[in-house]
Amino acid sequence: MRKIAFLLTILALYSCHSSKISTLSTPMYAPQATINPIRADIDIDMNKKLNGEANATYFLIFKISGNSRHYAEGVNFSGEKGIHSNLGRLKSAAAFKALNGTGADIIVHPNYEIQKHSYLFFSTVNLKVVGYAGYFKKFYQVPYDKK
Amino acid sequence: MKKIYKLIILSIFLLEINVQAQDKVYGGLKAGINTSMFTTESKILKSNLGFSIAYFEVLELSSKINLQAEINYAITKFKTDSINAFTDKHNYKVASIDVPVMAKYRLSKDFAIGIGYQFGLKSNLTDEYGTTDPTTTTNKGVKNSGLIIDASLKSNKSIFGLRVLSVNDPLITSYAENTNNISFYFCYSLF
Repeated sequence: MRKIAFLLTILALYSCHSSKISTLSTPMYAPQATINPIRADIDIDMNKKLNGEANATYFLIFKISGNSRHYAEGVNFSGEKGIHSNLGRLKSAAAFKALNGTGADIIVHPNYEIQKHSYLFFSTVNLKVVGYAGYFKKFYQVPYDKK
Repeated sequence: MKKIYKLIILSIFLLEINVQAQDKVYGGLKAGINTSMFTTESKILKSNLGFSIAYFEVLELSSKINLQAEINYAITKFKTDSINAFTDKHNYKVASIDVPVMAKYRLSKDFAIGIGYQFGLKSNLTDEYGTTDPTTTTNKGVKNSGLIIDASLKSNKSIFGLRVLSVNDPLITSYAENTNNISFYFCYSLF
């Protein structure tokens, strides 16, 4: 009974709050602008193959060594969780190593070779990427009516 | 001081070591014998030979630095002497499951020294009849953790080593102030 009375008191006090709302102007809801996607023409050098390699060693879930301190932006795999997200980071690191210093803008048709050794405490991952060098030639936007 | 040791060990793992070559891992089975040294004034406790079996893994981070981790089942044995009317002569044993993790530095191609930390849990303290002595405080379920110092000699697939463990919590709080455990072990690499 006391509990019910207490709850009713709290409810009554809560419902008796005063409020003051002042409106200076009516907000105008602007529609969200949608930008046409940017497309690019790419020159693919079929004679130039890009190679990159990244490796990492883990103690349980902690990375303790590896040569992957730099990652290529855009080569990430956000949907992959746990150990797979580590693999995604390694892919980004291998892509960075493949692109770094070559002058190429992207890796076209990247093929990844993954060697993973798992033990009770330690695990080692070695990842190699091979692809073709791609160079951006032209950026353009396609009008909506031509989609 | 012990906190500093813990920080050193943790920092080894948190610090990424930048190496170009793929790290090599090897591991296998480990067996050893152990004995204890008790820091006590009463001299009631005397150590007996115990044993341990373990699975170990070693990660070769570089030509000089290795990381070693184990999962260890150890039996520590000791006895109490009847030095007065209140103490009986008994043989005791305590089982523990330990996970030592340490960094090892190779002084030469085969000889290495290591420092690390052991995380472990003790089980029941039982006497020779399999019963627990009610007059002793046994630290059941208490951590069997502490600093470890290791020296080992590698020969092909075999490793011989000597290890000293300084346990933070005494084996029996009634009698001993502190316990140091010395073990001699043999490892054999399976992979």
